Amino acid sequence: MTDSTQVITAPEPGAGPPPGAGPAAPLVTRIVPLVGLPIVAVILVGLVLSMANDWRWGLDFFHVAGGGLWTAIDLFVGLIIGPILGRLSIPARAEFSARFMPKMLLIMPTLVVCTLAAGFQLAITMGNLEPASPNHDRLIVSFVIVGIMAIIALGILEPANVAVLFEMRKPQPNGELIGRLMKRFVYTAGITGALQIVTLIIMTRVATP
Amino acid sequence: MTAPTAPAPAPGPGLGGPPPPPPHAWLATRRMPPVDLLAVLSIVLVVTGGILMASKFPHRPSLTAPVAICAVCGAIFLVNVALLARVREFSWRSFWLVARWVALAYAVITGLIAYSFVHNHITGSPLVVICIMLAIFAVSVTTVISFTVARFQEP
Repeated sequence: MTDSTQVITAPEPGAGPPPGAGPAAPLVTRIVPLVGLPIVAVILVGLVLSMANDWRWGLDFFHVAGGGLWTAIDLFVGLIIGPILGRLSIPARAEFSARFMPKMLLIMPTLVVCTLAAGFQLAITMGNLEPASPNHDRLIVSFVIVGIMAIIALGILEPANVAVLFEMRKPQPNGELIGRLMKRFVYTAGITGALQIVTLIIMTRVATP
Repeated sequence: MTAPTAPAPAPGPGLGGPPPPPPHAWLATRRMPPVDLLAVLSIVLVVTGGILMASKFPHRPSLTAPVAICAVCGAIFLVNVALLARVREFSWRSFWLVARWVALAYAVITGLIAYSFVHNHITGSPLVVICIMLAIFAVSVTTVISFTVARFQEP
């Protein structure tokens, strides 16, 4: 793998561009997959209805299913996909990212907001945030862990992901820049994966009477 | 378009050398003011303030530290506006394009979180401080994402 500046849309090894060919089409044409937006809207409406009606099953569903998927995706991406991605060539990373990142832009914020909003309401209604509750300190630790993950995700990962997608829309993407930005993804995905394991331990402890 | 494959082996002598850098490669190496770092600092501060307040709910939390955090974040925001205003050769078109959509997304997200506080009987000045912190959070996330994208785009 090389980190030198190169054009991502490289043709067959050793072959030059066909005579008279124009600039290569960009890898990414749309940043956010619009087809996913109605699905996100339905999920968020369901979340609001569950919160507004204090619908316990709905709150449990959004917190447990959202949190489970959030944790599983973070672990899978951080511990399985991340290291594999780090060993791929820059063009291969770019092609994977062009298909993977737009979906993550919709999936992850939706899962996070479902988990946090439903979880906060559950914590209040179940009395787990009361200082006398045995779960109070565990929840505060989980707040801190979620806070660190949010800072990593929103301050480092998300900006890099969107910048990579914009770079790949160019007719001649800068391979060095994409490689540099994606290193952030590879390094930080492992950290969030490890923090998610701590979250799993805390949450299963909270749910155990 | 040919799908990207593994990088081509380095061409030998007479095969033309390594591929030329893209015409906009200079964008990746130019120096820019630390707008993104300051926005991330703002996110760190409001997340800390949010944890401090949420850890005291449903009782009334102390507002001293959260209000101080809001004041510091306000100052950081003004510094960031000043830094951005002085940037030369910046892709404002990309910045505002991304900012519009990110702001819309985070308005929905922070709105849902604010609703969860309102619905759980958080009222008065704690609610006002929480809402200000959520607004700072949304603006900071919008700034860091938009700036990171726009700095690598051609002006």
